[in-house]
Parts: sequence; C-alpha cells; structure tokens
Amino acid sequence: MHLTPEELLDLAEGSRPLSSAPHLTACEVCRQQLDELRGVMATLDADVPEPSPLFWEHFSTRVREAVAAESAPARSRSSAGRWSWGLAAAMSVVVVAIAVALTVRTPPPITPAPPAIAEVPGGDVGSAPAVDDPSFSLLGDLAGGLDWDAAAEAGISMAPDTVDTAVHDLNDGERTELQRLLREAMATSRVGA
Amino acid sequence: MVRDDDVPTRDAALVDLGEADLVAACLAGRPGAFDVIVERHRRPIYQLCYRFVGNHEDASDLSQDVFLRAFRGLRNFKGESSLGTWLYRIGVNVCLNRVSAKPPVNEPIDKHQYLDDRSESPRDLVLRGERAMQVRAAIARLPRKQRAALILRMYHEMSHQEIAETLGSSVGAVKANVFHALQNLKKLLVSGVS
Repeated sequence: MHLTPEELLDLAEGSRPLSSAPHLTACEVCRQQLDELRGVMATLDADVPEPSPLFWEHFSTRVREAVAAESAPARSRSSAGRWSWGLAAAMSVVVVAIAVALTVRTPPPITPAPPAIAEVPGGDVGSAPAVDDPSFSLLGDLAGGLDWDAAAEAGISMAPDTVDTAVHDLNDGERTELQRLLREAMATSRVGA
Repeated sequence: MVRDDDVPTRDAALVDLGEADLVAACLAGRPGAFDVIVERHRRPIYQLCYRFVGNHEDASDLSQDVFLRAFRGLRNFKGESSLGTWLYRIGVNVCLNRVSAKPPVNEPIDKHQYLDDRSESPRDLVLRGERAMQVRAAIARLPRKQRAALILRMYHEMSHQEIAETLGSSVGAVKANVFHALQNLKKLLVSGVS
C-alpha cells in the first residue's frame, strides 16, 4: 500500500523522519513522488518583489484615510442626532418662552362667565344677573386701581379707535362720571331682571 | 509570523503595547492605535495578497481592503488567535473573493518593483526575476483552496493547524490541498506556463 498524500507531504516538509516510512525503501513510485514534491518546493523560494520604499508610507496614509472616511458618517450621524435633539429642546424652550411672554403681555380676552341657564328656568340668556357675578366685581376692583400711564409704560397698549383707547383719552372727571353711569346702568338692568 | 516593525510610528507609547492592549486602544478610539497595527502587519498582508493576485496594483488595493475590514470587525477579535493570524484569515477571504471575481494578472518583473541588486549580477537578477514570475504565474492558476493552502504554508510559515483554522477546514484537507497544489504546480512549470 502506497503512502498517503498526507504522509508524503510530512516527509517532504521534514516534519516526519524517513525512518518512519520503511515502505519507501521498497516502493519506487513513492520515492519518485517524494522527490518531485521536494523539487517543486525548492522552486518556491521566489520572493514577492519589494515595492518602492515610499509605498509603505503611502499605503498607511491610504488606509488611514479610508478608515477616517469609514468613521466619518457614523460620527456625523451621531452628532446630527445630538444636534437634532438639542435643537428640539431649544425650540421647545423658545416656544414655551414665547407663549409665556404672550400670555403676560396680552391678557386673554375676558369673557363673562356663562350664565347659569339651569339655575334660571325660563329666563333669557341676555338677562342673566351679570352684576352679581364675582368675576365682574374682581374686574371692577382691578380696573378701579389701574394706573393707565404705568400700564402704558409696561407695554400694555391698545389698538387705535377702540373703546379702550376712548377710555384712555378721558380725564379723571370724565372717567368718574363714566363709572357712575355704568353702575346705574347695571343697577337698572338688575332691577329690570 | 513576520511582522513589519522597521517603520517608525508616531506614538512611541503605542508602539510598545502588546496586541491585546493595542486592540483595546483601538476600540477605545485612541488616535494612532490602528496605524500601529497597520504598520506592524502591512508587509506580510501585502505579500499574501501579492501571491494571490500576482501584481502590485491589485495587491495594494486588496491589502487596503483587508485593513479596512479589520477595522470594521475589530470588536470581533477575541484574541483566540494572534492578530496576525486573524488578519491573514481576513486576507485569505478577501483574496479568494477577488480571485473568484477577477482572474489574476501577473505583471512583468520590472514594474513597480524595488530590486535590491547590490548582491547579484544583472544576469542573475534577471534570471531570478524570470523564474519568480513563472512560479507566481503557475500559482495563480491553481484552484482557490490549493492556492490558499500552498501560499500560507510555503510563504507565510503557518502550521497546518493554523491554515485549517484560517480556511475553515481540517488539517487533513489542508495537507491534501498542499500536496495536490505541489503536484499541479510541477505540471504547470514543466509545461512552461507564464
């Protein structure tokens, strides 16, 4: 039985001693195969041609650039993510700040409390007892103590040609008279109701 | 396994690091750490690629691809083999994929080659170059697995076990591939393939 390729290779490479293969002494075929293997292996001493000395530095630079290009999108994606979250947070703060500022500078229109229809059976919506509404009392107290000049300096302005502007243009005596007339009108309304 | 340590690097502290620490430095994003890996292993990886494809241009491109893939997969390196063996494994896969897609083109001996001719006569130099070219051309015509096993065994001094791990086969299969590669190589050289 001839030597296997594995055994022949081990013998050719020298990793197995010839004495371990007594078959060789009796087999010309195996001896010839072993000689051929050794002969081919002897031709394999060909070195790879050495590139120019400059090549290695250029090569390292190319790899460095390729690696940097590889990492750049990941970095930019991650920073873009951070930026978008930061932007969203900043925008939220700005929106809240604007909303608060608008609330402070432009008080929402005061609407009278809806009449308690259920409490006035058969009554007209327009004839609800508005004077008794506590929110009107609060408004009256606040308006009575309002310093219009201070309000104007604080930036609370009024659009031209509005009732607010007309009231603003009244002198103290005229405002007092206006208050008296309004109270009388509200009292009359209450009596009529 | 051969390492390319003869090139000065930028960070002396990194150069002194062992493989595991160097890989850890890379994974930690330490600048220059991967450069040191490249500088240590670029020559044997280039030579491996050159033996597969037989020309400088492709060998250079393939070597770059090997290191780029290594950078991408560095987290997968567990240190079970040496970094050089791990890079060889990537290199063999890259080369086998390329060889499947593109037949090797062997270049003439005087192209892109820096020949140290101080110890040889011009005639010897030419003869040696021609013989080397014939051998490379013959190797380039071997079947893929035979070529890979032969190159790793004969030129990169890897054990049969290491080659088996690199190629994902058994030691017996590696030995059989080397054996048949040598037999086929003899036929190709006798027939004067170039």
